[in-house]
Amino acid sequence: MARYIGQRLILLLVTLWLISTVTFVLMHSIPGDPFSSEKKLPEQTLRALEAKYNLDKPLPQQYVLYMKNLATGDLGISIKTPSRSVNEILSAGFPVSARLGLQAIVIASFAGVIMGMIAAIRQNRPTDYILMVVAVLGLSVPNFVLGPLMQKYLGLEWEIFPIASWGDGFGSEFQYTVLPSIALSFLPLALVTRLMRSSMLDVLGQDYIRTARAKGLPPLKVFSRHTLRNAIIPVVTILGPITINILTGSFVIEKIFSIPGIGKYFVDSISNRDYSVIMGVTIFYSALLVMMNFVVDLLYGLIDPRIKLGAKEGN
Amino acid sequence: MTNQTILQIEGLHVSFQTYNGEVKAVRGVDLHLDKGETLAIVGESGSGKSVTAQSIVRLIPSPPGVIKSGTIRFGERDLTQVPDQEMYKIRGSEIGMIFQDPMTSLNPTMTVGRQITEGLQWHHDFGKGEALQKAVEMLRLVGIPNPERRIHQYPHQYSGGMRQRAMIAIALACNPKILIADEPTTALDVTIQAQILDLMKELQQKMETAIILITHDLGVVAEMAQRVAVMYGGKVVETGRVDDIFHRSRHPYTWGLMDSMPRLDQKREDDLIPIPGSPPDLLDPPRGCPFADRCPHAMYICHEEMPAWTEVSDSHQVSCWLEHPDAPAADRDEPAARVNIR
Amino acid sequence: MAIPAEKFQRAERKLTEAEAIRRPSLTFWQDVWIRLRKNWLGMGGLVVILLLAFMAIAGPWMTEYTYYQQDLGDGRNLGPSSEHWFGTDDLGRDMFVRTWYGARVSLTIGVVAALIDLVIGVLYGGISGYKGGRTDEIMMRIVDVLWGLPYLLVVILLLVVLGPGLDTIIIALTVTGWLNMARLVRGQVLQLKNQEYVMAARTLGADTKRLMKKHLIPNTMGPILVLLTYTVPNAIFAEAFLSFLGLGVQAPVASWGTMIDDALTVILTDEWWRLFFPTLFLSLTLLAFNAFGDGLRDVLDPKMRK
Repeated sequence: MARYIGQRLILLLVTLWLISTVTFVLMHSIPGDPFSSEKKLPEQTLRALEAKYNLDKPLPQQYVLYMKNLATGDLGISIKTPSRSVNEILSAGFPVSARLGLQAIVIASFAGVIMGMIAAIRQNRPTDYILMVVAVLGLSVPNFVLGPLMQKYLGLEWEIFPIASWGDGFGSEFQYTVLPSIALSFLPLALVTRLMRSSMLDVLGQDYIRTARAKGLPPLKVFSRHTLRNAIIPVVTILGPITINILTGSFVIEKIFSIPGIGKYFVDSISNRDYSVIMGVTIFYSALLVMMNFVVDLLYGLIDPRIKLGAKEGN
Repeated sequence: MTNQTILQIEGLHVSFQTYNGEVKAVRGVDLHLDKGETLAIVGESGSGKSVTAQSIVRLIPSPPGVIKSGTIRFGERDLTQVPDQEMYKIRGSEIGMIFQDPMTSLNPTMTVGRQITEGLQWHHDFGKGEALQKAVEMLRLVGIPNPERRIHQYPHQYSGGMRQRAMIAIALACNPKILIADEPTTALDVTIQAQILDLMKELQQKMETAIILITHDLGVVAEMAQRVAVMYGGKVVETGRVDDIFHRSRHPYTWGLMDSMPRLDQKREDDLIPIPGSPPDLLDPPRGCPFADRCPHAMYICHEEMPAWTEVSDSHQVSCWLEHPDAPAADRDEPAARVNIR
Repeated sequence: MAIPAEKFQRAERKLTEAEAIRRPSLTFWQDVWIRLRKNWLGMGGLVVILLLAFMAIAGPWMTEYTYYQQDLGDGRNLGPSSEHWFGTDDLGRDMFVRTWYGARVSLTIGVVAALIDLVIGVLYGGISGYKGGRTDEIMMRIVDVLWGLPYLLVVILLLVVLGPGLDTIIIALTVTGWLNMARLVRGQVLQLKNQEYVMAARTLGADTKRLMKKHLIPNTMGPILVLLTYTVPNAIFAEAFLSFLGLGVQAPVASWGTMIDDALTVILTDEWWRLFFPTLFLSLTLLAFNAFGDGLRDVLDPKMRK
């Protein structure tokens, strides 16, 4: 177990190093310098700016410097708003994005598990069909269409929820978070619902469910002790992909709902080519994801006794 | 029905509703089970033997399965009529069950101990410690070494034979009056099979349990049973004591079953004789004897009408037109294999 | 009741009937097709896909307009009419032509990206699985590392560097998109290798062609085909997502993503057709491919075969 965690941590570091290197190389392979798009700067200002961002040094040296800073957690300074460091931007945006993302993950996983469960129990009956239609809509209506439509109808026309505002950081009032969380969780919700449904159907047909019934356990006990736990295992495995989805989804949702999270800064930095912010956010989010996947794997080992972490995978 | 009888099935009809129509899996089965005895139900797959057994405790998948008619008397009660709540109390405590595949019949994410104790805790008001102690005792009883440690392990840490032992422990934990064993050894290695059968016999004597043994293996029948019911096409075609069936059988299907079984006294040049043909389509079951299509002795009447029961002796009944006084004498040794199949 | 004596005559046996093989022997593709035809979900998806593909090809020719032709006079923001079936946008361009032109772009991106994934995945996964041993280990470790990367973030990064455009989008989408396919193909190849032991065991007289037809192709092609079907909508969705971030194809070229992005700026007005048509067909496409994939999966699952 310890050996496995050790191995995974090494892989995690390799991945992070790879991401930062690739990001660095990519960002520095863009022709011209980051200031070329601006109005013509005086020669001297340009020199000073280049010196400030170490752009006057040879590329390998820049790389070493960047990695050194990265190792201490310093992601550099925004090019477009030089008064702010990337770390400041991240620490301002993260609580907001975290609240939104966590809320969306909770909605997607809980509602998805419950909806999938109900659909499986009512298989081939109207309830099942309705839930599957909702799930299919979730897969086929992009959240950047759903978000604006919700804003228009639930926000503006029927005035059920406030829009285009966000309370205070992580502790924002609930009503501001409802619409964006739902819009953000729609697709992962659909994924979880579908997976949970098929997983439940699979488990319900297993011999050990019959064994449990043969013991005389009433349906509710069979369900809670034997069906649910085994059916949920596959859902845990897609928590990783779901996190990725919610993370990238938050780019558009934060932009649409004007939420001051990391995603909004990121989208802004893409449109005004603020390379140090793009780089910083990419590395930060990658680190987050890689760690999330690690946690999911550990969780999986805990929930399913058959999985021996670190054991060689069979073919 | 003697006062020895603890289970009496009469006129049982079970159907499955499928997209193609109603599959009449069991079509009028009469059986009885005496205290402490072992009744074997034999037949090939699709003969309705498993469905009959599962219907006793209403474990057939429902939907699509439905008990259409018939009674299953268990003591004072008719098991086809008792409310669900009462059935939950009967299952596992008065009637235990073990199944064919021990690899899939145990919950992979629950310790074996927990799987034994949950039945105990549900049926008796056992505390956790008490139930655990009883579970250890059960594991020891079914011959699992080191039960105090084994009880905390998961099924995947058990071998196939040990899992079936654990299944038996689960089924017998509440000391049921009847044990229904649905092909308990089919999925096991031959050497393990013998061990499991010995264990079942030993426990049966200790606990005075009556066993309904579902199998297609006549070797297992000879080893275990006192009485045999031969099923074919959803009906019982012959029933009797083991020696009635093995030595004095009267039904051509039973003959076919015997001839397709390897024997120690067989001469080497004698091939095993398969029964040609395939079982009837129960979506549209034949009017007459279900075996008529494959029977080497079939007469016109066999295809048209189901034969009545003939009492061969007190213990031995057969349902075959050959028993009719007008029927020509049938030569058992007229081998089915003479028919050229290809 | 007396039974007439002739009833006790021996009946002739009709064994041929009892022994008749009920299912005729079919090739893999015939079998798939027959079962797919009965799967209404998969068939529905397939029909919609074919219709969409037909309109993507023929749609832009059905009217006299072109996707870039502007009418800055009275032709702006017109609702659907007999003249402009899907209305016009704020530059007076015909939405019908643009919608089906967008279908061309979106479907091209989806299909080409999926096919490139397939080629790379089959080569990489095939080599990894076939060589085995050390090579396999190293190649799979590389996949593991790449697997940890957030897919869309990498795509965004690449597009920032490469600049937006149809070809760069496809490149960016396939840079990490082939991982899934490579993993799957490797797994299938390993299975295939093990099957070869079976073949070896049965070597003498074993008919390789029959084994291929009856065992290898049905068991290995299925999952690859299903994954391929799911890859298309993912790529189409990714393109729309990138368009929303301003990284999609550039004007005047239209894709559903860019049209939706344009329409969102006027969502509060009453020009519902601007958002409605591109969204409808984008969603329909995603839906159809997912349905087809589900159907195909059910049909190809060996466990489903009765």
